Amino acid sequence: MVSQVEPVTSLVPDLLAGKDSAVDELVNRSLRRLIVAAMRYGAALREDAEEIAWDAIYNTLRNVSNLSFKGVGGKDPLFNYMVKSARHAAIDLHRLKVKEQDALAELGATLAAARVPTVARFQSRDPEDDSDTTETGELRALSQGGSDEVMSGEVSQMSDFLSALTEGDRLLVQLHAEGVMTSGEIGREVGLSDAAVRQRVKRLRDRFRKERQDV
Amino acid sequence: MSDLSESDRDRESLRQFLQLVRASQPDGPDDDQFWDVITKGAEDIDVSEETLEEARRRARLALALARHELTLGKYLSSLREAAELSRDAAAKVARLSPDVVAEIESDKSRLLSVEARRLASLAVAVGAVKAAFMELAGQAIGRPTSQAGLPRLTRIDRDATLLESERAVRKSQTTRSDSQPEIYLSELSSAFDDETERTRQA
Repeated sequence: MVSQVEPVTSLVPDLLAGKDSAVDELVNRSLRRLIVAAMRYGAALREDAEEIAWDAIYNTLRNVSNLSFKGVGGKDPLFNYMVKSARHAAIDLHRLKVKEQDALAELGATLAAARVPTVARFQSRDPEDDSDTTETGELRALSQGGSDEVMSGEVSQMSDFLSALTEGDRLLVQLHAEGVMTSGEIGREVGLSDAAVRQRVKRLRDRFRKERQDV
Repeated sequence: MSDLSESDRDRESLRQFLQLVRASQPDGPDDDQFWDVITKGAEDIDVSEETLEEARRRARLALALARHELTLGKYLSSLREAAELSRDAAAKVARLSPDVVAEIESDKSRLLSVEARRLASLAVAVGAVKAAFMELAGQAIGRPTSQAGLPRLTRIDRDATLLESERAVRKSQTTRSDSQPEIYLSELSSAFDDETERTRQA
């Protein structure tokens, strides 16, 4: 799949030179994508997604003179910086909301135990729920961080493993790991059924485990 | 204690695998294809002209800061003028005297002597972007001013009462605190958030 979106990195010289047309072009090419990305990563309200998108543009351009584009993958490193900024902000926001939800759920449970009547009983999502829904356990995992158990050697092995995969398999694994799309949605992107996506990811997991054992 | 079932072990190993994938790309993947999928459908979403214009405004602001073209005074005065707000009106909203606002806008104010919440009120009233405002305020505090303290009064003291009342007003608006810049900036940041929330709810 070749990207159909015009890159924004080529606008950098004109942006630094203060050309308004470059600003217009940057916004036209990137704002909608950033809003969608923010919503993917958990910004439930459109206004939050817009705010995140504005901040991503601001934060990236504020430091544009200092950005290094060398070693940043892809054909559009400037957009990469912006969308990662939006991702980070949306995950932080989602993390906050999850905390609030968990606190409310705990409160609800406490009230229920004390048999205090409530107007609405809040029920939190079960993070172990494996059903095909948008709010997957992986997004919750992403929001909670949880990379403490991971050793740097394993990370390095995983990086090598991902680099060696075909584009399709790498995309599959990355999308599944991010937890912002259901298996069904991922399947539609890569041309597989929901069940086939899950099966393929498990096979890649098995392959990774075997390769690690062989090392 | 029973062992985990095979499906539990399978689920756990998958969880660990995906966690490792995430750990290997903590900021997200670099692949264009990945982001193309994540942002798919963007061309179909409606975005208001106001939303687009705000994005352009912030982009220009960021670039102006990157080029070191802005001071706090220039920023706030340009916002006030763009909002078509008179200095008197802005001063009234922030509960500052117009003279103090003029000093701030000309970068002659000793910022630490202006109450944080009043400065924040001024910034919110004229529509400042918090990140830019805080950065410029930080620079203003760190930057040595050519005219520290109050400006010299050049008027002939014909009406001492008037001058005394001006001094009293000025005194009530300024802090005597010897706050360190970091404390002041922290107060300024909180005050900005409070004022923004207050304005939103109004």
